[in-house]
Amino acid sequence: MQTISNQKIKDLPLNRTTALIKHNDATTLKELYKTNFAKVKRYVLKNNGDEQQAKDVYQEAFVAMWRNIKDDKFSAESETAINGYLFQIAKYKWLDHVRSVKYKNTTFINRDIEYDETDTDENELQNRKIKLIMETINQLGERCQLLLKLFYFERKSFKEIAEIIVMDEASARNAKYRCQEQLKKMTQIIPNGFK
Amino acid sequence: MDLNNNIQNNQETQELIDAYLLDTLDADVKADFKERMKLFPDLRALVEEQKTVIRGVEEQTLKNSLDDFHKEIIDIPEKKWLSPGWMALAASFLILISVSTWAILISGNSSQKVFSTNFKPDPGLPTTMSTSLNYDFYYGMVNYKRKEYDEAISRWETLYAANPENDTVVYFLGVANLANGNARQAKKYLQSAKEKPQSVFYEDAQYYLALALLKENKIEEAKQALAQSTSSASIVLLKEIKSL
Repeated sequence: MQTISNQKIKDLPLNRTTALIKHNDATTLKELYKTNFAKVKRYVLKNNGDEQQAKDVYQEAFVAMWRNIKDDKFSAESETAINGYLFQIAKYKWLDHVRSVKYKNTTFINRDIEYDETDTDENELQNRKIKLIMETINQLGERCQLLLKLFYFERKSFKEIAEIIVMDEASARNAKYRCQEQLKKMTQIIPNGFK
Repeated sequence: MDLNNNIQNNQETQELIDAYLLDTLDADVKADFKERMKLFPDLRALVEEQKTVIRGVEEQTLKNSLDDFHKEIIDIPEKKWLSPGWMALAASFLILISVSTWAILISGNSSQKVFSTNFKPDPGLPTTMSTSLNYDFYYGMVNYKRKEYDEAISRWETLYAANPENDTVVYFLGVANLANGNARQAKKYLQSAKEKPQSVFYEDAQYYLALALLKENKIEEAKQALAQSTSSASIVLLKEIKSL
């Protein structure tokens, strides 16, 4: 479990839950996930879906919610507000799916943009790049994936990482850099921002 | 980053960028970095690129974690007592009860039906009050014919107490009680008529006894009582009882 370092506490905004989500706090995310599934499941089952579909739409909604909080596109007043927001996203995603099936169109309409501002070309580009990175990560070796996860998602220090993967700190640092470079090379992202 | 305005894309730079994006820089270093970003588009580009990388890593990690979160969801059955197992048990129990009740009612009803279709009170004896000796008996008979069964019964009971061997009184007490709805009392009187096969009332007593037993849904005993009798009415009744 990752904890917020002392250095960051002074910068914490008033809303603690939002801050925790932004820092990918595992406990917060897990609790949020576990608490809100039941309601979405009930909704999907009531509306011609099955449990697997409920799980899929819920997970997509969860990631969308997380993204919007990260991008400051949704500011949560409270945990109740976040719960409601998450449900809304899941609900609309499901409705879109049902409607698209009705019209024999099987493509799943991405409705994330409903909760953001309208997507600009820049955002489109950004999203595509992010997607590419996500796909490429899965092609990296296990150790690289772990290093990147520990550093960027769990926000652990190199000291902590070194303990986890049983390396000295300097080696951990170098290894992580190499993994990152490999990732960038594989996605061929050129510094000026274009693929 | 060297001071000749040449941004080196190396590990040191990357780590600085990371620190900036992950917000682990001290305030003064952070301010300085922001200034450099304003001045150097190359740096800005690197920062943007790294933003994408970090976001990609985070999102993919999150996605991968969700299945693990999901495994921890405990499916609490909303209303445990309504679970299929209990429902089935309760349902079969209810069915059992209703079927048994229905069966009891049905058999009772059929006996009741046979009883009501067949029971007609004995028309009684002519009520000529010729001698004072039989005054009470005939007064009772008048009550009886008027369907004043309670009065008839109370009058005849006095006579019965004085003369329990009188088969006429016994017989009519039996029939009156049966007509009055009291099968138990009727049986008591009618059964003693069995002891006197020579009596004129013997056959009829068996007949009414059978009816009384039928009213109490004692079908087998009713059959037995009728087996003793040879009257046509008894044969008809026996036939009907046998089909129950």
